[in-house]
Order: sequence, then C-alpha cells, then structure tokens
Amino acid sequence: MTEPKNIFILIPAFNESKVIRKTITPVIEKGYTVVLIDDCSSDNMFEAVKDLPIRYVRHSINLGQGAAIQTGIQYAYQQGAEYAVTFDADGQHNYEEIPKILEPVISGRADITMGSRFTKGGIAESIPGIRKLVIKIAVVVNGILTGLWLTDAHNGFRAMNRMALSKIKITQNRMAHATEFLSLIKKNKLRCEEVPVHIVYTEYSLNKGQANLNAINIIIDIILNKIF
Amino acid sequence: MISPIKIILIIPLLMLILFFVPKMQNRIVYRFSLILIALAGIFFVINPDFTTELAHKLNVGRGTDLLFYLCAVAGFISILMLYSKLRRIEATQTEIIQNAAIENAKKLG
Repeated sequence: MTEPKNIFILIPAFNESKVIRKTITPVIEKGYTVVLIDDCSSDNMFEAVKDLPIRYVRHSINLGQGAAIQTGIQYAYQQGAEYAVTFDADGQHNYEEIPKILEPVISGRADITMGSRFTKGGIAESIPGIRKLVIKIAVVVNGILTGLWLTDAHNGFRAMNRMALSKIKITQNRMAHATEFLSLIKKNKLRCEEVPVHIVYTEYSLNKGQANLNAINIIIDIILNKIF
Repeated sequence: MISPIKIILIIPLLMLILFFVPKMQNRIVYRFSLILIALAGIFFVINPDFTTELAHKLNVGRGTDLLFYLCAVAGFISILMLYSKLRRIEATQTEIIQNAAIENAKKLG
C-alpha cells in the first residue's frame, strides 16, 4: 500500500497567486506531497503559499510550463517519489480524481496515465466550441507526429510511476511539451492508459490559459524541434 | 590601381581573417570556410569581371545578381547555424536553472 506522502503532486505555476491556495489546500489535506514549481512568477506567489506544508521550487528565469514540469519530475525522482501526478494550478483539475488517475499506475497496468476529457466518462465542462475544435485537431496532429493515438491532447492531468519518472526528459520548454510527452512515451515503450477526467473551464482558466492561436506556435515549435 | 571602394570592401574581409578566425578555436571547418569566403570576397572585389564571367557560365544575368544569390544563401545558412547554436545555449541555460531550482528547493509550512 502506497502512502500518500510518497505520491508527489507536481503543480507548475506562473503568476497564479489568486487561485493557487484554493487549488493546493485540498490536495495537501489528502496527505499528498505537493511540489509547487514556480516558473519565476512576478505576482509574489510565494507569499500566498508560504505557510502551507509544501515543497517550493522556483526557477530564477521564466522558462515555460514544459520546463517547470521537467523540474518537478526531476525533483520528485530525486526525492524518492513512488508516483507523481501533474496537476494544473488554475483550478481546472479536480483533486478528487487523483486516486482515479493513479489507479492504473498503482495497480501496475500502466506506467503512465493521461487524463482525457473526451474518452467515455470524461467531461469538459463549459468548454468553448473553438477550443474543442483546436483540441480535436491537436489529437490528429499528435497522432501523426508521435504515433500515439489518444482521445485528448494538451491535458495536463497525468500520473506516472517511478520508472516513467526516470524515462521522461522533456526538452520542450513551452507548450509543445505535451506532444513531446507522447513521443517520449512511445520512444521509451511506456505502457500508457487514458483515464476519463472532469475538467472545468472557469472564466479565470480561460483568460489565463493558452489562446487558440497559440496552437500555431506549438506546431512551429514541434517542427523546429524535429529539425534541430 | 585599387579604387577606394575596393579598399573599403577589402578591409572588413581582411578583418574577418585577422580578428574572427583566430577566436574560433578548435573549429577547423568554420575557420577554413571563413578564410575561404574572405579570400573569395577579396578576389571578387579585385576582379569584378570574373563574377560576370562566372555568372554567365551559371546562366545568371549579371555578376551582381550571382553575388546577391550567394549572399542570400549564405545569410540563410548563417541564420540556421545561429538558431541551432541558440537552441543549444537555451538547453544548457534551462538545465542550469532547473538544477539550481532543485538544489534550492524549500520545504514550507
């Protein structure tokens, strides 16, 4: 039986001081080890969390979400985490679904699980139509580029076992890391399973999240990464 | 007799050989390429008719056009090389920052 403290919840965050406390507190209450990776926020996020029992890791330069996740993965591995979960800071993910996303990994069926809004049982609450279309296109692009055909793309809710933690080395600092994640799963022959999750799009998360046009930047990043 | 414009064009090419090439330590290919480019540049400045001759052999209208095309290609290659170098520097910087962040991680509360 795995103790919750050996499960590291990796939360990359940039300028999330308004919501970070609300996101983190229920996760801490479940007994998990919370790792907040502050990607050089300028909104004094540290002040918002300094009294909470968490691990705080801060980049001295803003690098991007991909780099923040990699820092979290490296930290969790070095600290002896048995399992790790990547979890968004903006409140889109539901902490009550952490056991669900961990289940295939803890039971040994999978090395890594990916949350999906669009597999049977998944819910994307209040998702704008254009966002849904962009994600569907991204699913096809990811499938073609990585050979891994999933039902969702760019969903930051994932769980990994220790072996996956040792194999995943993200080099894409910005948002293209989500596609790189799939390439690394395929390259390292990790067993992957999709888990239906419930994602809630709030006004805050939509304003804070990526613009739909950013999808073009992501594709350019992926192509450049393949060339260089 | 070498005209003033030729001197103005030759000086930066000579500077390329004298100042930049010695700084490229252990990069024989880059050094050699730069020396070659600079020498070719000096040769073309002194013998402008040769570029026209060469252009005609390559089915290009004028020597100026040929040089323009070559410069465009060289510029594009330079941008690619610089971008590739930038990516390597960025990757190293990322690794340094990540390692420093992990080393300085704090247990709060």
